[in-house]
Amino acid sequence: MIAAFGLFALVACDDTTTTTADSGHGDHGTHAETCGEPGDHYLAGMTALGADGLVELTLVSSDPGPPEKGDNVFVVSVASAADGAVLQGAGVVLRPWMPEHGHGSSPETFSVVEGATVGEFQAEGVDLFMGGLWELAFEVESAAGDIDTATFTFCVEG
Amino acid sequence: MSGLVTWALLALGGCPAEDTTLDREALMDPVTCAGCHPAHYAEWSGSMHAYASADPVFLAMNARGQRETGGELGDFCVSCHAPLALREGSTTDGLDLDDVPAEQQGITCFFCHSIDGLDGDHNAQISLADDNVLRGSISDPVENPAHHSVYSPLQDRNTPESSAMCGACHDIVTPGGVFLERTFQEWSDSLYAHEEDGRFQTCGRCHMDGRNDLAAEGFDVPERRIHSHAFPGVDLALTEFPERETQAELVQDALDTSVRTDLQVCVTPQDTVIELTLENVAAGHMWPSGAAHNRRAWVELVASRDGLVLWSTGVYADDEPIGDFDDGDLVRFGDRVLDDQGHDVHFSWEGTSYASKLLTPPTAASPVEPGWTDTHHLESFRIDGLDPDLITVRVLIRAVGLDVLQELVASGDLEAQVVAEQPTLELAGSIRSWSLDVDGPCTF
Repeated sequence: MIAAFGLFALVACDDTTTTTADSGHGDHGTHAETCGEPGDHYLAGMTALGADGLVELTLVSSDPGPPEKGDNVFVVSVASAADGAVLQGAGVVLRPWMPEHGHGSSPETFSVVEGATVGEFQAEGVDLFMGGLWELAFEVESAAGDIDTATFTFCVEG
Repeated sequence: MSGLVTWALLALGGCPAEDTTLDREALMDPVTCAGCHPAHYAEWSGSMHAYASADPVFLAMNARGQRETGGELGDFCVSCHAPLALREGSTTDGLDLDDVPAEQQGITCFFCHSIDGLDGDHNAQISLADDNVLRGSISDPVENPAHHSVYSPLQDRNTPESSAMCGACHDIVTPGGVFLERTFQEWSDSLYAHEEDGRFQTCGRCHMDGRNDLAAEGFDVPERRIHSHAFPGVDLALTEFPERETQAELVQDALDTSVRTDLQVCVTPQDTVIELTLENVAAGHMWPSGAAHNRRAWVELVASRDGLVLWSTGVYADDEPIGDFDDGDLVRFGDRVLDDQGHDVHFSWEGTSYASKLLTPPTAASPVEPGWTDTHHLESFRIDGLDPDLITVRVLIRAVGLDVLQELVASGDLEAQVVAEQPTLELAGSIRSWSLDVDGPCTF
C-alpha cells in the first residue's frame, strides 16, 4: 500500500551527503519567514484608528483573507473616531507601501468605492505583487473635509 | 522491478506502488515526473525552461552565430539552453538539437534538481550530482518509492544560494568578454539581496509563486508551502507549445506591476512641459533585464486636442520595429551591444562592449541609508507652441525586437511567420493621463 510508506524522515541510503536545513530555511511547513516584522494578525472586522485620531477604519473583509500575493479585494467601513457614527459620503483611497523595501505599488493608489451598504467601501484588484511586509494605508477625507489615514500592516507570503 | 519498467509505468500515469527507485534514465525524463508531480510538470511544460532548446529565436541565433564565427561559439549558447544534452554528449554546439532525445531538451526537472554545486557565477558553471538523488527545498522529504530526495539550499527559494543557482545561467559573459546578461549581478546589487529586515527576495520568491498544496500525488504527504514551476518572466513561446495562454497571462501579470509612472504637465501660452517619472517597483533586477540587448522597451507619449494628435513619441504599429536610442524624443530602455568602433551591433558575438539605459531596482529602503540610489527616472519634454487638452502615457515591451527577428529572417535562419508571433506587451501599471479639464493647465 502506498500509505504504508507513511511519513519517514529521510535516511540517506548511500554515500550521498545529506544537507540539513539547519539555517531555518527549507519548506517544512506552510509558512516561511518573509518579513522583518510580523505585521497585524488578520481578523475580519479588525479596526485601525487614524493617525490623527479622526477616523476609525474597520477592515470588514479581505478576499483572500489574510491578504496574499496577487490580487486582493478589501471591504472597509469608516466611522468617526469621536462618536462611532458612520461617515457617509467620505472619499477613500488605498495606498499600499512596502516599508522594508521603500517602494509602493503600481498603480500607486487604488480607488476605494462606496458600496451598497452605507459606510462600506470596496477596493478591488489590489495587486500585492511581492511577498513581504505591506502597509495598507486608507486615506479618508470626510464630507466635512477632515483628512486622516488609517493603516493595516500585513506580512504577505510569496 | 527495474527502473526502466517503473519508468514505463509512470509514463502511463500514476506513481509506482512498490519500492522501485527509478534509474537515471527514467529520472532524466520529465514525463516520468508527471506521474507524481502533475501540477509541477504542467507548469514547467509551458515554461521558458522547457522551451529553451525549442525556441526558434535561440536556434536561429545559434545557427547564425556558429556560421559567422566559423564554429568558435562552440557550446556557448547550448550550455544554458540544453545543458543536459550537452553534458550527456548528445550535442556539442546545438546545431543538431533535432536529433537530441526529447528528455534532454531544454532545462529539465532532472537537471535543476540534480545540481549540487556551483563552480562560478555565470555561463552555466554548475556541477551535477551523479547519484540519482533529487535535490529540493523540502527539509524533511517523505520517503517514497520513486527516488531518493534530499534538501539543498540551492533549490530552496528562501536562500541566497538559490539565487546564485539561477544566476549561474542567467548571467552571461560572451567569448569576447562582454558581460551580456547580468540579472543575478543586478539582483546582488539590489536591496533584495540583503537578508536582514524582511528585505530579502530571491529569484524564486518572485518567479516561483508559493501556494499551500501537496508536493506529490499518490502518497501520504503533508500540505506544505510549495511553488510554481512556470517561471514567468518576459519571454513567450513564439511557436505552438503547451500552456501558451497560461504563460501569457502570468507574464502579463508580472509586467503589469513592474513599472510605475508619474505624469506632470504644465501648459503655458508659449509651450507645454511634460515631466514623466518612471520607477521600477516590482522587478528585483534592472528593467528590462536578461537579454536586454534584444529587448525593446519604450515609452509611448501622445498629446492631443479635441481628439487630434498634436505631438507624439513612441507610437508604433504592432508590426513596426521601434527606433534607435538616439531617435528624436524616443525614450527607450535596454542594452546596446557595441563593436570595437563603438557602433551598434545586433548580435552578441559581434560585440566587444555594451551600454545600458535601464530602470534600477531599489538598493536601500530610504534615502538616509548607505548605498541608496534614486530609482525614479525622469524624462522631460518641452514642446513649443503645443496646446493640448489630453496627454497619455504608457510603457510597452517586446521581449525580442522585430528588427532582430527580421535580421534573422533575412539571413535565412528564422521562419518569417515567427516575427508576427512576437507580441507587444503593455504595462497596465504604467498607463497615466493628464486632462486639461480634470487636472488644470499646470500640475507642478
